[in-house]
Amino acid sequence: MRSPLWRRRQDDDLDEELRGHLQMAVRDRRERGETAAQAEQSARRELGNAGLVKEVTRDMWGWNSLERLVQDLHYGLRMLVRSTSYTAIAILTLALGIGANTALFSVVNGVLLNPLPFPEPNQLVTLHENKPNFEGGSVSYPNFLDWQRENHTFSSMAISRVYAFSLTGAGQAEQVSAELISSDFSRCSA
Amino acid sequence: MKKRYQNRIELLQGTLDLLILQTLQWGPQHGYGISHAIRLNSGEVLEVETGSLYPALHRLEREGWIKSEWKVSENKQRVKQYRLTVSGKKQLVSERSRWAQLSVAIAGILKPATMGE
Repeated sequence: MRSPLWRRRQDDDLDEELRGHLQMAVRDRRERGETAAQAEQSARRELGNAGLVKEVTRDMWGWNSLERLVQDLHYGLRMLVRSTSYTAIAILTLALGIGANTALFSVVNGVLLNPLPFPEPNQLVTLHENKPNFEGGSVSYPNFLDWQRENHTFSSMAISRVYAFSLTGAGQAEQVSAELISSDFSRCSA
Repeated sequence: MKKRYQNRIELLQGTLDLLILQTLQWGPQHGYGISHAIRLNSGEVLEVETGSLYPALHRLEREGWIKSEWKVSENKQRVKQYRLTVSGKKQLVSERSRWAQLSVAIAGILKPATMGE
């Protein structure tokens, strides 16, 4: 890789090269009888814009792709820091875009790519019992038995309850989350 | 002075490379010497701008056709000299034949017009 050191040396070389060019032009003109001031002025005019000459010459050295990437990143960062409101809008736009995409993908992933591993998962429903000031509450087991007995709508009904167990033995005890299910649970997913 | 400038011809793109390589055929030379030689040998018609000369020299060096070296001149001045490399000599031959082709082609186009057809 061409180091910054290499570039600085190239820069110094180019400076000296152009300085030498100017000196030789001045010397030639003085030998032809021009005064020192005249020669200097004409030679400088002939050389043109030294800064521009250096710039177009430097372009020939070529940047390697990594240097160019670093330069572009620096430039980008500088511009972002300079215009904070633009940056904020850009970040917000990105965040919203990424968020919306993630959300959409989660749905697509769940519904289309990884559907439930049961036949006709669209017929599965969850039932809750609504009480005054308590929506989606749990169902008491005797109530469930009544529902099951009088059911004409569903092909089968089952009940479950979240439970937790303590797993002990060698080492520290651990809590294991579990689910209590009624015996007809497997019939619902078959 | 101004008239002399008007008589000068803008160099065709790619021609400068040929002129530089051709000039270096006679031996190593620094940038100022090259521009001086081109002006002199063209009868003061072709003037190479520094803004074209140095980019061209550095580009040719990158192509490997010429090689630079810092030398101390007779005037005890450090100068950067360019010399033709082996691949530069080959490039000179191919650019010369390209130029010959081009001038024949242009002459062919101009011929009917001068004959008044």
